[in-house]
Amino acid sequence: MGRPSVWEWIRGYVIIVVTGSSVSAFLSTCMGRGIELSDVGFISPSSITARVGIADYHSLVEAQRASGCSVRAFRRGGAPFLLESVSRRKTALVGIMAFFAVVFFLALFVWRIDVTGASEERTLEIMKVLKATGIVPRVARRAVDCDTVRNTLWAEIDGLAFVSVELRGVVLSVNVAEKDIPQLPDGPVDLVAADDAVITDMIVLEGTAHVAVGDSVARGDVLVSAPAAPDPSTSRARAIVRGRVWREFSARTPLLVETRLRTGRRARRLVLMVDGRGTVLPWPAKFEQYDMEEAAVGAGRFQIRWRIMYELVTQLVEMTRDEAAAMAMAQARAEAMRYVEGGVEATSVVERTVDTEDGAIKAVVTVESIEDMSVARSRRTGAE
Amino acid sequence: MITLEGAERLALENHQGVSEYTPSRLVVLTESGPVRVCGHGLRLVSLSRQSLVIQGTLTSLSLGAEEAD
Repeated sequence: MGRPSVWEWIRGYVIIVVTGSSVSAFLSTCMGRGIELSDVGFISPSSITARVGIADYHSLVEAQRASGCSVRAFRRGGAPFLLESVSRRKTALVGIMAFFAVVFFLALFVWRIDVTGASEERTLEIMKVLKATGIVPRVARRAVDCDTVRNTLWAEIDGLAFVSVELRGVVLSVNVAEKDIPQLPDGPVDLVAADDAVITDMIVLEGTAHVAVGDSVARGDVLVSAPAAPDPSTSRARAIVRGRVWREFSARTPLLVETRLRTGRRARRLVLMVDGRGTVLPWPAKFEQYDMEEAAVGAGRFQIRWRIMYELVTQLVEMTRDEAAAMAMAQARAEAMRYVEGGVEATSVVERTVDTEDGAIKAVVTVESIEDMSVARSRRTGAE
Repeated sequence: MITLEGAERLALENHQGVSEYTPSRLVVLTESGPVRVCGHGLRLVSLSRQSLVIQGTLTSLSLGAEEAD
């Protein structure tokens, strides 16, 4: 006999044994009268078992008469019978009811407050504000108004960019995002040139402009000075200043290059490790110049490490001018590319090579770009 | 309508009753005649006025009157 479905269990069921010369007639009669049977099992040609719902069980009498079979209740099961048996045991019933009453009572309170997205210091600050407004673990759920709590946190704590408060069961979840406030130098604060440049665009929002579009400026020149204010410490120049900037990236390659090559000779040294302590075996050979590789294998407490020493020999290789220029240019271009890929709006690139006095080739890549070129500087401390 | 799921489960709708039931053979009456299901360990998982479901190892299924030997 299989298990009853959840619905059958809730409704309650009776497992019956049907005995008679025509059990198939019994099945057909049940079907004709709308009695639903499930899990009909065969015992013998004159005997079967079946599961029937409580509601249909009482209707079986007619099917029994019509088919000439006898029906016997073998076992009862499901929620109605369970409740009936529990109701007879007063203590168990009281215990179950008390359990649900306690769970229900405990669910009326907030038992935990979770703060996410805040630093440790900020979390303490949030908890302090919550405590001041009476929101602590063990407070009644109905006393917590999430909108009010959120508005209180907004009002009481500076530096929050986002606050959400949610009551999930017995947990109050406070999710915040902190503002990333840049540390500005003490005022008055002027805007100065970050680099040597030619001004291409300039929009002054606050302060007095000292340069105009088309002017050449050197690094550190004042572009816009802070406006006069009753409190100089809060006086700040604000402007958008963009300029044309030229940056040089260079690399140098000598025509005579010293290279180190492996000769093919090598020496291996093993280190046997047990519980982190090792026994070092001596090198079988020593080389004047070498490079080293290390590797390890092992499991648990045991490990074998080995170091391989490769002998090197130094050779002087003479390059042609074209080879040296290509090598230097490749290095200079790589540096320039790193700079441009950082988000710079490059307008032109010029490459050139020059012979140096010490017999090397120098490659120079000049990148012309338009950049935001103002930087805030405190007039009082000089801090940028 | 007869729905056969693999060789292990058969659902039959709009039947008119069961005329024979053993673990190896089950005969269900329908408007189109008897439906004979043969196999091993056949079990009537559910039986109602609208439908019946048979589970077990089904080996054959035949429709219509059985031919005389």
